[in-house]
Amino acid sequence: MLLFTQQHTSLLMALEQKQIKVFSECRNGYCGACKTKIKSGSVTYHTEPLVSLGSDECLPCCCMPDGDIDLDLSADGVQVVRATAKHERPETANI
Amino acid sequence: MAYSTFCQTPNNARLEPMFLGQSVNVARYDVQKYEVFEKLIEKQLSFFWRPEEVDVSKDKIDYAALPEHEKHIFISNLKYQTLLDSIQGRSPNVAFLPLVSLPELETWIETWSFSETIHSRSYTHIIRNIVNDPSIVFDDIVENEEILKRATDIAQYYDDLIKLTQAFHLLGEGTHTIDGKEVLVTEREIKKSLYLCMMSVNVLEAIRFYVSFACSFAFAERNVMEGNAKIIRLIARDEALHLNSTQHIIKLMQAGVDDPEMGEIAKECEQQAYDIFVKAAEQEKEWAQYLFKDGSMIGLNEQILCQYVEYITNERMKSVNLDLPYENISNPLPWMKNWLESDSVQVAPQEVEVSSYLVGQIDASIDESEFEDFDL
Repeated sequence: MLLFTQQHTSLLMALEQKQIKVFSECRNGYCGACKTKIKSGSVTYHTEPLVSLGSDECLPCCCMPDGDIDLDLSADGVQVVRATAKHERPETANI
Repeated sequence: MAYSTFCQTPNNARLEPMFLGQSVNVARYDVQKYEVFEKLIEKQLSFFWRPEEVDVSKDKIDYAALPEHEKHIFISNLKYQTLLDSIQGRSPNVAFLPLVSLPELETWIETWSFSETIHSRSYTHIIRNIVNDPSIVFDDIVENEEILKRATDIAQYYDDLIKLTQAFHLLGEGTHTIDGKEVLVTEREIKKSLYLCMMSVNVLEAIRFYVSFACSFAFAERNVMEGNAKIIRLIARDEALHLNSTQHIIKLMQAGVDDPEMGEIAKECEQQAYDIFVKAAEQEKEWAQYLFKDGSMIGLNEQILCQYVEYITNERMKSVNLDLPYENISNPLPWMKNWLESDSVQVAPQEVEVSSYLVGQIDASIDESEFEDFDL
């Protein structure tokens, strides 16, 4: 569902690009506002977070996913592109 | 147990609880029970700034041009923030330091409170610049009923804790008659008072401040009072750290590993903690009503500000493991994010929002006419 590419400097940026609702403030790992639960997968921090995190928590503002990850966030109102047949134009739909 | 500024009993501070263990003796940071406080100290020190570095002279012109109801919004917010930082510049020291038993936490509290004094100094810097007689603003803080209502609620938890601690240090545990009133003084009562006080401080740092921030940034979104917004931005950056620390202390208390009795108290006081948050949020909504009593400003009105209070209250309560009182909505002030974001990404030096470039960066003396012969 979510696509993290090299264009994104953080997981938070990728989430926001997909219009997933994440609360964030400092975007630099010291306020803890964006703390999110990880259901599966792991992340690597490019800035050390200044917030104590449980083993199942991450700060999306200062990390990158190591591979596929499943986060405990709502997908309500998120713009996704549904897979379509090759000759059709992809349509944007809300899920 | 009397307080001593240098307790001579050798101890291992790592085995002490955060509060009400043996008073701190050697201020050493090579070994730490909670490394996070050391990191907070370092971060806070790296954030050091002085209000005089920010040029607010253009704000005087902007302020003079504001309509009366917007002047009211601006000045009232400054008064309120002055109150909040007057309290925060001293109270963590007075209330928490006599109880703290970890060196890194002790120093964090001092560093935290010190940074609040910088905020207080910056309000004088801002106010001195926009009004001829700052006393008109400052004197009203202890007369304005809307502000005093809040002051009473904020100070009460600190005052209760300070009183209990003083009685405890002077007279020890027991039922004492103080000012003609019987006061039950036990370590448990102090811990309870401390837990509720920490909640109230968290509310102050995490909700009350943000209502004022929203107004300051709403002005700056329209390119007015930008010098003020730059200062508020630096203040907001500090406050993010402070609220992070109070959230962390509260969670350590709740977990009960640091002090099992504190864990019990946290469970007992869950409803009281919830009520502290809701009461403060409702007060802030009343404050929004007072701010906009004579009219809204472009980009912000009472309704949106109240929604923001509810939104942010939910987020903050989630962070300290409390039930959520308000309906789940999306952020009603999405642009706040741009102002609260720190400076890791510098877009362009000329952008007013980038605070890392702000030291003396506004050239307030440039007139628009100077660009007349400038062609693209």
